[in-house]
Amino acid sequence: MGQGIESEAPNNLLELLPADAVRMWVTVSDWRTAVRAAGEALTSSGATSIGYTDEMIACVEEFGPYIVIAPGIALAHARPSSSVHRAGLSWVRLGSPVEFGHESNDPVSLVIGLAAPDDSSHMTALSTLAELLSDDAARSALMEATFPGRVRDIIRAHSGADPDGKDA
Amino acid sequence: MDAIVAVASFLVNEILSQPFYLVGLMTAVGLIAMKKRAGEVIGGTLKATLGFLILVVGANTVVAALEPLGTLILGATGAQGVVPTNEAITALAQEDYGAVVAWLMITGFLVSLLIARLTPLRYVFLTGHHIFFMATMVAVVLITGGMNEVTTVFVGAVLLGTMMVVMPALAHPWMKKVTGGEAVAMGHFGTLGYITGGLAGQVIGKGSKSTEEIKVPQSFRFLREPMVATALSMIVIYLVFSIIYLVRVGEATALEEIGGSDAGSFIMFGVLNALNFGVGVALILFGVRTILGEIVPAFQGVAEKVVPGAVPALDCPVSFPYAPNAVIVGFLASVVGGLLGLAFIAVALEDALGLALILPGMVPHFFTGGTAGVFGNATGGRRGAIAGGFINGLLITFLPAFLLKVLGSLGFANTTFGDADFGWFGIAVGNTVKADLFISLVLLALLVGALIGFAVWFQRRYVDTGWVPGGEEAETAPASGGSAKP
Amino acid sequence: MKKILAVCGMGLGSGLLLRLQAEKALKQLEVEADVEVADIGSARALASGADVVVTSDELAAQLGEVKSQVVTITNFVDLNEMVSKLGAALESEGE
Repeated sequence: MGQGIESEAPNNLLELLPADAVRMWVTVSDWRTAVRAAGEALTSSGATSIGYTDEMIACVEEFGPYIVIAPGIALAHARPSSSVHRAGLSWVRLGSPVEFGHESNDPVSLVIGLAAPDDSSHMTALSTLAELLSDDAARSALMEATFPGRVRDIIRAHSGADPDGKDA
Repeated sequence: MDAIVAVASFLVNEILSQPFYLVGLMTAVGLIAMKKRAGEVIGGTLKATLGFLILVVGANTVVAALEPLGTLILGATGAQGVVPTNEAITALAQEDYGAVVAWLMITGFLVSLLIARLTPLRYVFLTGHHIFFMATMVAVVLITGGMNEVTTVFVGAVLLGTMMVVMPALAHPWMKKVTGGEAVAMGHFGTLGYITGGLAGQVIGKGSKSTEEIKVPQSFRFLREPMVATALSMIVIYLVFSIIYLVRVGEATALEEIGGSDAGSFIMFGVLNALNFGVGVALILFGVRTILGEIVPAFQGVAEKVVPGAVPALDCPVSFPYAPNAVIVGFLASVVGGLLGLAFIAVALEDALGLALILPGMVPHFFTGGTAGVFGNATGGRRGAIAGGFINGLLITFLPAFLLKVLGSLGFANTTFGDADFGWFGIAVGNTVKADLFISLVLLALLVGALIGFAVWFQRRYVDTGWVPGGEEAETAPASGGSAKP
Repeated sequence: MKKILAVCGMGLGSGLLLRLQAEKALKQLEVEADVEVADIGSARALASGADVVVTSDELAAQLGEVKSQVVTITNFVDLNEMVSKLGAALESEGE
């Protein structure tokens, strides 16, 4: 259960989500621009190169909007590839919700971008993220946060209880 | 002693009163306060300064492109013609008012946080370029009214801070109706037009079907790019007035006064100027966004500490996805209202009141008319959208006409502030300031007190109670995306 | 031991989320099972070796006909949904 992680890989959620990868109140016209925003945030934080953004969009075009994993929340990602420099997350809160075409979880207000250089290096962080989003109180607080700093504060506070992100 | 005076004088004259260095300095302070590394501080500071200089280049481009139009309109109609474009008038003002604007904007932002902290009006105005525009307008109006620079900064900051918190609050019941309950407020200084749009919908829109049930071609989408919309409308305006002018004064005079080697090149000269106007606007916007890109994170850092749970007040396009057809309906209705208003001024009011001809600016009509349409549709369907857009069009034609009178020499530029709130607030403040300093201050204090007081009452009575404008169906959409299923 | 296959588009991201949730659900249900992740491409082949396949409704359609039980999850962060749907599927599998 998430034990085989190299000690060098950052597995702390906060480390994977630097301040400049959190974008709030981004106005987008459609789902592609929304995913693009998440991709740009990943690129500017150094986790990926520009190509990764196109890969994320291609993923949705190929498999459909399955990345809308919960009401209002999309987890944009693509296969580990050479466009990923290191594991990273981005957080894009949209100014107005956008349709992705998902049957039940549309429209989307939050796009979380995820980049991983290989299949295992981000597991612990992902599990912390899952934990965070499953917690109703934390999720509401995150959706209501007005500023990027607040988003990271909530994450920090939540991870504080689980310093290694190990789940119960 | 001389050395100290020389240094101080250098600092004040060469650095602090030069708006481009001033914004750089402010950015540096903000970045240092956020404990950024030296490289980031230097980079950010340079970026802010360069952004300002880009804005200046844009302003010069705009002036050059607009000049012939003034002559054309004067020759064609005997009147001063004005195309309201917020970006252009703001950039023009920076030359004389830039330093004051910078101080006023920062201080005003802090004042708004204070008001949000101390009253139930927990809104944070996040539309940076509108803060910049309103700060500029307030600075121009106060200084034109005779206030000295230091007083202007403090008084202006209070005025700006008040508007930044009050307007989102007053629009909020309608905004919630539009968004279906999302915790996002309207942070845009065209709000008078949006509230009247919402009210118009309530009055005449009972039973009217939503605009979203019509099939409206999405081909108007290109207008969302300010550079494109502006260039397009300017081409039309230039063509119209070039032709009228040509007919009126004859080819010889036209070529002499304006340029070109024959009628054909005379016309194309106008088209080129129109395109350059668009270029200038694009440069200004780029400059503004570059500056704001550096300052905004610092703002956010402070805002977070002072009003942590505040509702963000965002740019008007945030409302567009909720009713895209209403945007187009509202825009067209607004242009119609604008043209009718223009005709009315031309025929009836111009000589009587010495008003300028306010020509339709595509950017104000699209963004504010569109938003007014969305608000009108939310309460009154199609009729509401049309009425909302139409009234907005009238507002943004009459208000700027009267605003020009309190802008001093800037009132003679061929452009001015386009959105409704710049209009009514500028007129209110500008006329108040004509009195004695002491009386002005008292009156302004009363104005601020009245606005905040009214907003607080309104917030308690209508926003916090969840009052739904137009009543009936309470929104069934979930409060915000991502919350747990019930 | 039962085998559960969590299927997603890319083999990471949502697939891992499903696996994490499935493991938590199994703990709650006090059932032991192996949970593996696969991308939609290899899923069809691997599905024959699994007792239950867990995926999103979007991808279930792309999976097509498989012998195993297919559980579709709408909300990946709602543990209750996973517990009730997975629990029902395991029960009907028969212990």
